[in-house]
This record gives sequence, C-alpha cells and structure tokens, in this order.
Amino acid sequence: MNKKIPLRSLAESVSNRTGIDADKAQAFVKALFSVIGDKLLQAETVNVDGFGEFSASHNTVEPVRFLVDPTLADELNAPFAMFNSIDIPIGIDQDELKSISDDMLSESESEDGNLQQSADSVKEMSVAVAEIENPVSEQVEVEHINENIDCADEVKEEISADVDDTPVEIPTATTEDINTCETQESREAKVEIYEEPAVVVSSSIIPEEEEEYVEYSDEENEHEKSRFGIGFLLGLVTGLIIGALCFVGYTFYFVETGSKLF
Amino acid sequence: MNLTELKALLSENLGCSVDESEAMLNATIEALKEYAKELDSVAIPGFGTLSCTKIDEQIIDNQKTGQKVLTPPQIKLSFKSSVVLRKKFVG
Repeated sequence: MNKKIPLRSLAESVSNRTGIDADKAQAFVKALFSVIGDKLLQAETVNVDGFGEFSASHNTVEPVRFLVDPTLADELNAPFAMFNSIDIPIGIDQDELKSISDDMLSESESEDGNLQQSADSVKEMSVAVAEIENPVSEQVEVEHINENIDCADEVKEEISADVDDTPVEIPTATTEDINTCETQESREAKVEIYEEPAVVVSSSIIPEEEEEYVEYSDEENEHEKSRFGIGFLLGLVTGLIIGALCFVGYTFYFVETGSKLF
Repeated sequence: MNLTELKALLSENLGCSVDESEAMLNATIEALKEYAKELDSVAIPGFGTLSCTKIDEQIIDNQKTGQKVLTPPQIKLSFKSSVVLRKKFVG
C-alpha cells in the first residue's frame, strides 16, 4: 500500500499474467505509453476502455487530463459503496449538534447498562456453577441462578431431574451445560460490547471535529504569543540602544561645554 | 483513438499479432487496476505517474447556499505527467 511501483515491476506483472518474456513485456509497456504520449501531443484523445481516458489540455502546469472510467471508479470505491452524502441542516447550531450527539451517547450508555446487567447475570451463573460442584448443597445453589435467563432455567430443570436418579453425576453434566450456556452468553455479551463503541464513534463525528478545531485554535494562539514575545524583546532592545545613544550624546555635549552633567 | 486502434498500432509498432498485443494490453490494464486497488502509484518514465489516493470523509460547505454536506470517503485515481512529457507539450 502507498508504494511507488517502477516500470520493471509493472512489466514483470504483465509477463506473469501473459507468460511472455519480461523484457518483451517491458518493451510493450514502454511502446504503449510512448504511443499514448505521441497521440496526446497530436491533441488526440486516447480512450482505454475499462481504465480511463487521456486527453490533452491547455493547462501548461498539467497538460494531460486523465478521466477515470466509471466502472473502475466504482470498483475502487466498492468498500465505501454503502455510504451516501448526508445534507447537514442549514442554520443548525453547534450546541444543538452537541446536544444531539450527547443524547446519542446517553442512549448508548443505557444500552451499555443493559449489557452490564446481562454480564452480571452471567457472572451469577458462573458463581452458581462453582457452588454446584459441591454435591452436598446442589438443590440450594441451583436456586441462585437467575430465573430471567432461559438457559439457566433449562439447566435447573436438568439438574432437578438428575438429582433424583444419580446425585454424584450431576456436577459434571450440569456444569458442562452451564459452561456452554455461560460461554454463549459471554460471547454474545462480548460481541455486543465490542460493537457498541463503533456505533458511538460513528455518531460523534462532529465533536471530534470540534476538538480538532479547538486544537488548531490553540496552536494559533501559541504562535501569536511567541510573536508577541519576540516583538516585545525587539522593542525593549531598540529602546535601550536609543536611550544609551542619547545618554552618550548628552554626556559628550556637557563635557565639551564644560558644564556639569546634573 | 479507441482501444481497437491502439491495439492495431501497437501490433504494427512491435511487429506482433493483434491478439498478442491485445493480451498484453489487457494484462497491463489489469495490472494497473490491481496496483490502483492497493493504493500504489505506478511511475512510467517519460510519461508520468498514475497515483491512487484515499480521500477521507469531509464536510463540504457551499458558500453560496450555506448548505453543508458530509461526503463519504473515496478513492481517487489521478495522473501527473512527467517533466519530459510536459516539456514536449511546451515545445
């Protein structure tokens, strides 16, 4: 990415694609662009289908104009095809934009709170699993599992069903089930927690720009301050030099006239 | 000048068949496209540089209407002619 590809690499790429000798491919690429250049010098337009159009312009700084083929432009911009231009309403204040972004942030925080609750219930489940491993108080610990979680209910039913038959085998079977449920829950929670910041970032585009603007204005102020300091010093030095010259002239005048200085 | 004329002219200049020049031209275009997708620049001596750049999302302000538009990011393929070519144009 962002590399500068020389002609030799391009020729090698062409030779790899066609199976032709690299020197011959290089000669072809050179001939291709020299032909295009000659045609441009004759003020002709060279249209390469699927790539773009080279045409001569009257601009002396950039005498060749290149227009990308629309299909290639679409191919290049395929990763951003889902985005559209958005009109920002006219006359909207920065404060309003900030309040909108704050509302969005608070909504996302409330969603985070829900996630936190689900994560807490998952923690409760894991604690209960640890306690279930002790076979003496199986039935009591199972009641600690949060009833709001469906998978926890299923686990509880399994445990109560198994306790009647073989109490010794319960911990291994149930803990596995609970672990799977717990891992699924935790995975979902992790995925949701991971996805939330992305939404927050996308919804807070304008505050970031504000921050950038503030940083920029601070730099300007610093620059102005430094200029003020230099100006102040220059003025001070100039004033001192003028004062010294006046004092010397004053002294010589009174020495020559023989009068007292003060 | 279109692609067919270009192929014919190249085969004439290089002394190869039209099919061969077509295959090499298609391969060159495909290679250039691939480099462009990788956001690489291709420097062609005596002709110029084809460079591909990514422009981030930005707010464009229309000074006349006061309308602000948030534009999505885009990848732009541009061409900058070399000094040799520019001198040829100047004369």
